[in-house]
Amino acid sequence: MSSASHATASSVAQPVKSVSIALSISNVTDLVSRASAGDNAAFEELYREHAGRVYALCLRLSGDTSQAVELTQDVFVRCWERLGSFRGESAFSSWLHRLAVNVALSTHRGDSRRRKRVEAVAVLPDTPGLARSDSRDFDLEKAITALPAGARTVFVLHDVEGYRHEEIADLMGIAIGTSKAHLFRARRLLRKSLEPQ
Amino acid sequence: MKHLTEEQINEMADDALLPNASADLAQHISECLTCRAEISAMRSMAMRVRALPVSVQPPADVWPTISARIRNSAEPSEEKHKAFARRAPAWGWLAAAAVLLVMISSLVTTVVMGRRHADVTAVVASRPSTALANLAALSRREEGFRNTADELWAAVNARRDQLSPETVATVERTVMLIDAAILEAREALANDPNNTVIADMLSARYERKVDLLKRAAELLPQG
Repeated sequence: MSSASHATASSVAQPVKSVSIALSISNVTDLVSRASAGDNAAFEELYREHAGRVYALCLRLSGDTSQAVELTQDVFVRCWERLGSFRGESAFSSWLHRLAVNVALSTHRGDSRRRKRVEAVAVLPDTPGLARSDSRDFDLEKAITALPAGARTVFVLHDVEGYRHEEIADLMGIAIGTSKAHLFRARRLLRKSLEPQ
Repeated sequence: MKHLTEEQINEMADDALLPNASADLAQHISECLTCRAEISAMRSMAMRVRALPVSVQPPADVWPTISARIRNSAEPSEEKHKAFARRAPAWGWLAAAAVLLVMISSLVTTVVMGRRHADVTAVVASRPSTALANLAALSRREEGFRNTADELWAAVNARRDQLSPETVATVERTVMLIDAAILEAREALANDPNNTVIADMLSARYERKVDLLKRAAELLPQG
């Protein structure tokens, strides 16, 4: 735990850095409000702020760059259509993230013609920003992408995104035990694929 | 001796085992090198996974397609917009609370950073000139990350009783793992100060920590 939690009243004399976080909350609130009223420019700002996280999620869940692009577009179009239902009970980013997971999972379930997943090695080298600065992390990204679909989905949601098994089971329409089985399998496969040859 | 099952090793690595089961398992683990190694390997991989970048920039042509599609889509209804506007005071309150929380944390952050800056400067002074410049630039970036992380943590910690114990435990455990990864990268960089890959790795791990704390802050009830 950081010592920053031991605060005193005299710290009120340091207002400069504190404003940034408060402004960002206020800004997002303002942008959501304007976008929900039909302001495209405000929505574009929301997109710029959140696209990276949504795209990373879609990329890891789909294991395919072109599908991740389509999913990201679908997520933001759905977001635009549903902005009016955002009630402010959670942060906008949390709401959007949940929406992205739902879109990605429903697309995966519903598309029976889903094209065969492109081999991870062929996909990831063209994906800027995806852990390329560290070859060990890049190997890990490739190994995640190469996991079987069910195991990959649960692994990404649980170990990368921090969802609990109860939530994953609910989102995917599976039993909690099945979610755990997928996760354990994913971890086993990852460890095997990352072992030194 | 019967080794732990795959499920037990996974749950032990996640700290998710039931309390009444932990005592027996802890006894076995304390005596079994094989199971300890399995759990350690599992935790090591979890640490690597949690240090992966949370954000990947999409291709530039994604937004134009979205923009074209939403132009043909219905605008959110006025009634719903009014409903959102009625909720705005709660957000304003949250913003004010955030200002107060972060202001309170700032002095402590400043004091802590003062000490940390002195540490970094001491390291920098022992390097050749190019390495010195690299380390100095990195230390400035580190200071920014640390300030942000400390402020976010202060905001979360001040209201930790409003989060579930499981969430708090998860955040604490993950922060600890990322801090270990940061320390590892810093030590590697101290031995090889011109290595930009390690520097990038260190920055990515700080970004990961900041993102985790942002997500934790988002879980706090608003209003």
